[in-house]
Amino acid sequence: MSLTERLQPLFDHLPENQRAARAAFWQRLRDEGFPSKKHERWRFTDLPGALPDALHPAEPAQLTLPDVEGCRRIAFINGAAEGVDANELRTEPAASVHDASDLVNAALASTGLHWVPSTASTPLHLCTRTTTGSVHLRHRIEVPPQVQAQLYWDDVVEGDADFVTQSLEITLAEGASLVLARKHANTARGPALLRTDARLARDAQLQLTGFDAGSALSRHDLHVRLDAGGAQAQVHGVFAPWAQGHIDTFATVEHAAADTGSRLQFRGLGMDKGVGVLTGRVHVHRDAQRIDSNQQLGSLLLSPRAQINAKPELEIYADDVQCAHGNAIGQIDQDALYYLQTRGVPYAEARALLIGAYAAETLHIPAMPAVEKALMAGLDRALAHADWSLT
Amino acid sequence: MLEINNLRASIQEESILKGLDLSIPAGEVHAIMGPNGAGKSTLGHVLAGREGYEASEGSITLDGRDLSAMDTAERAAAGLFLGFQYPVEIPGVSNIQFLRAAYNAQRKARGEDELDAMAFLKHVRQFLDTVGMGKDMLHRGLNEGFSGGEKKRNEILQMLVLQPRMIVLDETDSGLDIDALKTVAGGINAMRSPERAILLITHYQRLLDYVKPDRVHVLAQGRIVRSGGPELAQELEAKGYAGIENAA
Ligand SMILES: Nc1ncnc2c1ncn2[C@@H]1O[C@H](COP(=O)(O)OP(=O)(O)OP(=O)(O)O)[C@@H](O)[C@H]1O
Ligand SMILES: [Mg+2]
Repeated sequence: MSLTERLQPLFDHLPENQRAARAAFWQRLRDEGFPSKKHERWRFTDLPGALPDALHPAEPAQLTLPDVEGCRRIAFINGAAEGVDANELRTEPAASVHDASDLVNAALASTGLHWVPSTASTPLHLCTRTTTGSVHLRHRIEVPPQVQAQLYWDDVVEGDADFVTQSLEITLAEGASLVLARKHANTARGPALLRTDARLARDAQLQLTGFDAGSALSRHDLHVRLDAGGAQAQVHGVFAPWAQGHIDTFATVEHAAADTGSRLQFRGLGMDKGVGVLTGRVHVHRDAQRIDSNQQLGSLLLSPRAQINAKPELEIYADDVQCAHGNAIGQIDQDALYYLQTRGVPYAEARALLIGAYAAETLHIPAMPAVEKALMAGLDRALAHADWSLT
Repeated sequence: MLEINNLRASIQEESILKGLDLSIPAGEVHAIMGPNGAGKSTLGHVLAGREGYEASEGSITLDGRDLSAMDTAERAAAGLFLGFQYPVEIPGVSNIQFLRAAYNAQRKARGEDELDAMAFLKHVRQFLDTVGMGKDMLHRGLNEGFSGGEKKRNEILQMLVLQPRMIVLDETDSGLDIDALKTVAGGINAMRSPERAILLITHYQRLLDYVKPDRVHVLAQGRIVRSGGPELAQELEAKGYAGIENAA
């Protein structure tokens, strides 16, 4: 069955008026189809192949959610909003799509968070949970000029979830800043897609930190565009696939203006038969002079069957730029493991300590220590889930 | 306390320990001396159960318990401590985090309560003066960028914090200036007790001036070729190993 045939029941399930407003995206998806592995950006990830044959609309569920100190919690549980103010609930369809893979979300998403923080806003804890069926959410964050905002997005896809797509559009106005930490785990039978698109105006600052783990397919398309001088983006991520997990991150930072800066730092942890794919692309426009970019990718192969495919890419059209990049793959330091064990630390705990140390710098979030802890706890859980008998 | 009988071990199919016998009763300090490459560090790693250093023959018991049946961490929990000739640097794991993980893991293995961060810090601080280390060194990466002498002091700090019963120190005195040597010796002497045994692996008489051994052994070509009292160390200092190996 083709992808659109499988998605048809989901589109038909939308209320009549929403269907009408999204019909153009749906038609385009039918015409263009979802990118196959022939598409350069989807070379390593076969999304249609990972989709279950039958997809179902999600059903309501009662779940207990974690609290994070100092944050206001809102949630989307199997697509249904909880604790979200009426003016924070998005209802309008997408204005445009970013590429063909975004069409699925644009055609099927009927709601999502629309957050416009003010100087008085408490940090937000966005919990998204999918336990059954298909869920498609389209979120938007607009940070007004000079406002500083913090958001912790805690995303779990599990159980009978068969297909989840989420899109997050971020705009930072002049002098605005956003600290966004994201924890994602997918242990469901179906795949999860995420798109993050951020645009930064003059002197805006974005700090993104992500932790992605799981035993299923997750793909994150991340695009940050620095539109005016003084804009700075820090993009950090750790990914930890276990079992048959497949985590693919395609991160792009676009320097569209002079005097902008970016820091990309990713750490991959390959466990079991997990596959990690990472592309870090830095794109510097012709007149984006004096930009400063640094991209560091690193991975640990923790199992002989795990695979990590990490690649930094540079596309530079300006001449007066500083672009550093590095890419290293290694294994856990056996001498360090032994040293810890001679002091009484059991093997598994010693290994977790060393892996934690490797990821800690990347997951360091000075502005949100409680959230940093939650991300590190997510890493511990991933390590505990993995089957270490292959090593 | 530590009984080693006819120990044989190979590393990458090369036979290194060739029938080594050694017995160290509780309350005693023994020293092992011997030429480079004799197998002294190998002995330490076989005792600690390092991967690739398994005994092919013979037996090792600690308080009558067979060590070969335990993994490295279990041996530590059973009271064995190996001070490394070359301590390992672990950036990203702070010294205090490491010490606490080790201390609590051992307590847990023995069925004792773990200490929280505050109580543990108090426990560690009482030993800082003994080893001449500042508090700031607790918060640095483990041995990261430590000088040779600082690494050795840190080994002694770990020993003091963990309070092991069977202590093996592999060249903890090498590369130390005279003040550091006295400090390290002070730490070792603080551990002397009727319930503990200490094995010092060293090349130099000068450590033994500060830590008086009960017995001195010469390890050469994978075996203990001679044993004696403290005077044996002086004899070695004067004559070197040549005569002794020939005598064996
Ligand atoms: N991993 C290894 N692979 C191969 N050979 C090894 C290995 N480790 C030790 N050896 C060999 O085993 C022998 C004994 O080494 P060991 O380190 O035990 O000597 P030592 O008595 O401690 O010497 P030193 O006084 O120089 O510290 C040496 O010949 C050494 O080259
Ligand atoms: Mg040695």
